[in-house]
Amino acid sequence: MRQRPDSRTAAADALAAFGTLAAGAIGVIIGVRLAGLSWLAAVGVPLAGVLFGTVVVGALSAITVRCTSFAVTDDRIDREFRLGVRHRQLAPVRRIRSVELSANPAQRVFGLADVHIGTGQRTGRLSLHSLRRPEAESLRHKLLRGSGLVESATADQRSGELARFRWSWLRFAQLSFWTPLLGAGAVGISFRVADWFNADAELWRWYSRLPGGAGWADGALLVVIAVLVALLIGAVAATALVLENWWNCRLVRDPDGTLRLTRGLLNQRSSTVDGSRVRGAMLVEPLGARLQGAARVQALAVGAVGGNDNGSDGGSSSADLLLPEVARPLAIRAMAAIVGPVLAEPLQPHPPAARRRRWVRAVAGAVVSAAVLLPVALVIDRAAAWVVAAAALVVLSGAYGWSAATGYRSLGHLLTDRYVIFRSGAWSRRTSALQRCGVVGWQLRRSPLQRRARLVTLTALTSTRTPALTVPDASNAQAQRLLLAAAPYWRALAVEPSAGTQPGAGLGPVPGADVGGTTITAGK
Amino acid sequence: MNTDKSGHAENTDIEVPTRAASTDGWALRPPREPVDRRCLPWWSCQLVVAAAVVVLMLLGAAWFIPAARAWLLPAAAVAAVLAIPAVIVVPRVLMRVHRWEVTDEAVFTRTGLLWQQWRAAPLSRVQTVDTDRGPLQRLFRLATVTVTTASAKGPVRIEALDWARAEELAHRLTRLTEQRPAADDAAAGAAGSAASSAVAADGPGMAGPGDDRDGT
Repeated sequence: MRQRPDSRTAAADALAAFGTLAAGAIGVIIGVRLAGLSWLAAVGVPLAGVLFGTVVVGALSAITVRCTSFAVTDDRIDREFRLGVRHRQLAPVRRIRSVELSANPAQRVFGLADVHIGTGQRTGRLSLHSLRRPEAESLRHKLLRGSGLVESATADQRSGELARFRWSWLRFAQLSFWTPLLGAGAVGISFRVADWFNADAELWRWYSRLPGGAGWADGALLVVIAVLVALLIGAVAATALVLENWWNCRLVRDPDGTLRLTRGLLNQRSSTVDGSRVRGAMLVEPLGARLQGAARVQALAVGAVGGNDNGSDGGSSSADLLLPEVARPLAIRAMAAIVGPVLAEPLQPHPPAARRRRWVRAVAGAVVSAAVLLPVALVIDRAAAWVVAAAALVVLSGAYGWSAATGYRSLGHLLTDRYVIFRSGAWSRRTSALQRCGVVGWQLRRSPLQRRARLVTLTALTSTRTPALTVPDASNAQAQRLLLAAAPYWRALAVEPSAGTQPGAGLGPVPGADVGGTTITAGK
Repeated sequence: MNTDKSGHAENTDIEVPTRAASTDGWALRPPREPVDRRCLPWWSCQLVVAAAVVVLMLLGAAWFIPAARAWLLPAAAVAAVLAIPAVIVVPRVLMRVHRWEVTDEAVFTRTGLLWQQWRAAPLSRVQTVDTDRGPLQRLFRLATVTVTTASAKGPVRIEALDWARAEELAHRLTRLTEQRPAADDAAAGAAGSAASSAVAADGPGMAGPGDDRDGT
């Protein structure tokens, strides 16, 4: 029996279009008024445009509903679009890897929802637009059961609800890079829009009226106030962003390890990461969050997962985000539910040579900054230039030193019986726990300086959407121990540590030269 | 050339290491096998072509933009002069640093003169083994063997192998890969009994047949 999208779809789409267009029209009206046109033109024209757009979208949507049909059997789902030509999409139920529901505000008014079906392939996404909500829910259940994502449940006390939205999450939103970014964006956009209507002179006048007067000191004050206002706007916007994305968030772990996440204020999202695709989890602590004792949690998962993104993000893993910045204990509890209590054990610190390397880098950074800043100040040769250069130098040197100290403290790794755990990063500290069976290969890198310092950068290659996990500057001995334990095939290249040592063997400037002579006979 | 290739191919056992570990705790020897000597003319040709393209582009620009001739022509000359030692030296250095080895358990490569890079792909995770012969490679009867795992960081490549050698290697890798049940096909807790300890240690607790394959 073939089904069709709900008949209320056209109304819902028209309403959604109206909302979007009306929001845009308000901006246009303000702009046109600033440009000094009459109210009639400023309001009438955009209004006509909004109505026209709404009608067109509604009509197109009605036609699409008439032309679309879909059918779900026990082993496959197909969707057909027939308008002159016929376009048919088929997905075997067994290949289905994720089923997600989403609904925009207009759809919620009409009790509708979209169903997005992912088959783990980039191209193999199938979306059903606008089903009645209960119908969508039952379809989702049916598909998940059919694909075996639900039934392989075994008893496991780590399952259940891991987290639920709390208002307190919002206080972690402001100290993120979003605040300056959105603040700058707001200022930029206001000028951009004003520019379309040739009103930027007006806007400048408006901005400059704020503190009033002229002169150098007032100018500086103006800049400070402008920056503060931009940051304030940014902070509000960042808070709103978290609210929109994570309102009503609920993270649930099924007994088989499947993670289900529902969230969203206006645009509701629900996504499922199949338990067999979860390879681990990562705790991300950016500087701002760390200051507040917060952290976010990200899944390390194979294949297509996440919300309503179309898998177009090249390698980015933001779609695997399970929790935004939340209080650290909660983040750690959620992580422990996914990967076990792996973070309870202390990690192996890296050798002092790694700290030395970071400090050398910090000093080099400070020297380079000085070499750039001081000549500039010398050329300008004004008191203000010297003050600014000196201040910048102090700030930069402090930042370099801080990042060296913090970066070293962050470094650590550990191999447990099921997980590889890496931790690194100064500005944004990442602690990742990856299942050992999720590692599909290993990579070692040594720069000339690292070789002198007897350090090595270790990379675990994975097939998760976070392409590889790297921890820099483990000692040679640590790297060797880790490799031999985690991937015994490295034995083949291991040289027995024995008494008769040859310093530098295998490590010379032209390392190929000292491979056992007997084997380099080819073509000689 | 390459009279000992069969000897190499059989030479898969882990031999008793001949050299002791160095004092710095680094005790990994480079993989054993060098690339074919004919990589020298091949890489030289590649460099000549690359240098020719750069020089011709500079000359072409000088032809069309008379105003910039004063510095475009010297730049072309410098590029041409620099290319000569590069064509001679770079392939020799690359040949010395490129190493590979295949054991019963994994494929290893080592590349890089200053920034050394070791890579290992366990055979239990190998998905495809490809042999490619590029147009220039064909001139020198060379081939590249590409070993793909599900790694999102790309495959392991062994460049500049003799044709026969490459075919043999691809065959051997395919055979070895087939022999061992893919680790990611083993159900949770029930790793394939045929898998050696190495593979078992590498891949217990996986679930979902072939699911890593979708990850690339």
